[in-house]
Amino acid sequence: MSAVPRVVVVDDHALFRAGVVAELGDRVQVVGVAEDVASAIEVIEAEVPDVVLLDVHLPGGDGVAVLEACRHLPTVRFLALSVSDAAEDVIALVRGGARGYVTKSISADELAEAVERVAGGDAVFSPRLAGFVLDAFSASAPAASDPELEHLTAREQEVLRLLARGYAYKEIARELTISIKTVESHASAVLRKLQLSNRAELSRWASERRII
Amino acid sequence: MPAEHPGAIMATVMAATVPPVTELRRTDPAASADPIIFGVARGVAAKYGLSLPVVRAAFATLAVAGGIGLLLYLALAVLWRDRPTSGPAPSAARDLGAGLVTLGLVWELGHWWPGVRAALVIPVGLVTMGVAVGWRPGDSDPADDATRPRSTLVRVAGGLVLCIGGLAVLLGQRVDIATFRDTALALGVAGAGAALVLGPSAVRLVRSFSVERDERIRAQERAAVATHLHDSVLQTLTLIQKRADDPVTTAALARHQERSLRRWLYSGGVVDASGQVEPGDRGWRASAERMVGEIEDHYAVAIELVAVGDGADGSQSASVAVAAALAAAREALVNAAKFSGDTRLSIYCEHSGDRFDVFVRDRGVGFDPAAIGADRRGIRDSIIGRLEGVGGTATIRTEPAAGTEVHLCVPLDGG
Repeated sequence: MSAVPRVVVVDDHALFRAGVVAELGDRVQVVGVAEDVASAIEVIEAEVPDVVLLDVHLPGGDGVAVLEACRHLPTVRFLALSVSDAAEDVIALVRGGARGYVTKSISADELAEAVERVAGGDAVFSPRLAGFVLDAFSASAPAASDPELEHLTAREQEVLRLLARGYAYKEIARELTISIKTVESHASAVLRKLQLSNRAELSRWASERRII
Repeated sequence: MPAEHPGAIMATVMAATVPPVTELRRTDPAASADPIIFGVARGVAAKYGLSLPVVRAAFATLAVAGGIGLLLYLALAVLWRDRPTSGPAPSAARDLGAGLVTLGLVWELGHWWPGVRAALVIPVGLVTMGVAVGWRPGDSDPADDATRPRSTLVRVAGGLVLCIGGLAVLLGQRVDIATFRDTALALGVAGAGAALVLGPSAVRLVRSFSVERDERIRAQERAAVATHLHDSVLQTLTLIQKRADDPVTTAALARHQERSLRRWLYSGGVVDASGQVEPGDRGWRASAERMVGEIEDHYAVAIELVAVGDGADGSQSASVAVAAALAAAREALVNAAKFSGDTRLSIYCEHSGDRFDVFVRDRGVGFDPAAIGADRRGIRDSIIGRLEGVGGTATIRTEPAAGTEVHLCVPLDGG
């Protein structure tokens, strides 16, 4: 990875795209923008960026369609960026392979940091996503085929709670007296469980909970 | 043709009538472009501006009248080589005329041709013509009729008159056992004819009603959306433009509008006159959302609310405890909004069945709890006192310049 992550911004609102590009400034290098599924796939395949900022809802199929079409590019990482708070949308994107989710109200600094984090292979949880995950995994215990995947460890729950309370990774590390690296690995483990778990509850829960 | 046996004639009538009726059902122009036999009827229809079904019905009626129609058809097929396939558009008046001419022909024939039994041919002829006049290709298209309502009226009225005429002639006859069977058959044909004449109109009427109703519902929905957008979003945008030099107010307006619109979009709430949205559900999540919205509006801060757990339908005392925790949380949020200097606050609520936790956090200036004067009753009464009343605890973690986090926890009795 180069020092400055190469980024493609996919969003159907030109104004928002321009805003993100301006906000990210020098901390990332925006190598392309796209406004719908087809153009997104095209520009991602042409540029093979480090990170794609992906809107949940796009013309011509949703963000999930872009994720699926780009599976053959394992080095490209996706960060979902959405104005939608619907758990269904968020969970669908993360389970589709996005490395994290942030809302569009995020500050420029936080967004740049999230992009760098995702470029480095880490997971990014907004407080809201952390809340979704806690909620989904705390639903009644499933008949687990793989208990390891179906449950969060006590430590993971602790990390998620702090994320949901608005703590940054650094603050979590201090709070739990662990290293930032350990916090990152907990977050990645949660993301993996979220993506691989076959809990029926997860999808059902997400579709029932339309908005927090 | 054995004219002496009414039954045999009826059989012939049916045989002659059925193909045109089958053809009449085919309203697709492309399908009816194929000639059934030699295309003579099409030629006549095209040349004189008549409806194809009417011409076919005329031939069928004349065929019943002692076979004249058959002879005529074959003669035309042989002698009339260059038949046109298209001509003037058919008109209802010409169709009616053609029908009457046919009936007149049959009537005249009845006087000198032994094969014609007027008592049967006329009713059947009338009904066949009625059907043919009433039902024409293109009937299935409501828009077509909407443009020519008069023509449709004439057509349906003419068809009805012919059908009823057929019935009247039939019923006017002496009814005995020998003709009973014929009468029944003729009545059946007449009934089917009437159904065919009225059927398409009725279907069209019903269909246009439902189309109209759907359009009305859509129009109402559009009007409701337009009204809502006008009352809320457009008003807010106008206000924002006017206050463009006041970022705090602008942000507050935008936040308020965003929250209101989200509610409206996602939770199906109804909007009251003041533009406030009544949320559809009344659980603690809704209370927390309302509270956050009010504080955001009032103190011009952004608050991120994360809620976990359901805790639906708790007991009475559990609801009281949750309400107390939320009231204390409101106090904590208001304190943070007023004194921390931070404009982005977080509130995290978790309902885990046997306890309810709330964390209110800011990254502001913080304070020294020991330095709070005894006269400052906010924290002591509104937060700690409230929670102690329901058996809960409040923990405040703060240090100067590092922000404040208030943790509220109330036990729930198995709610």
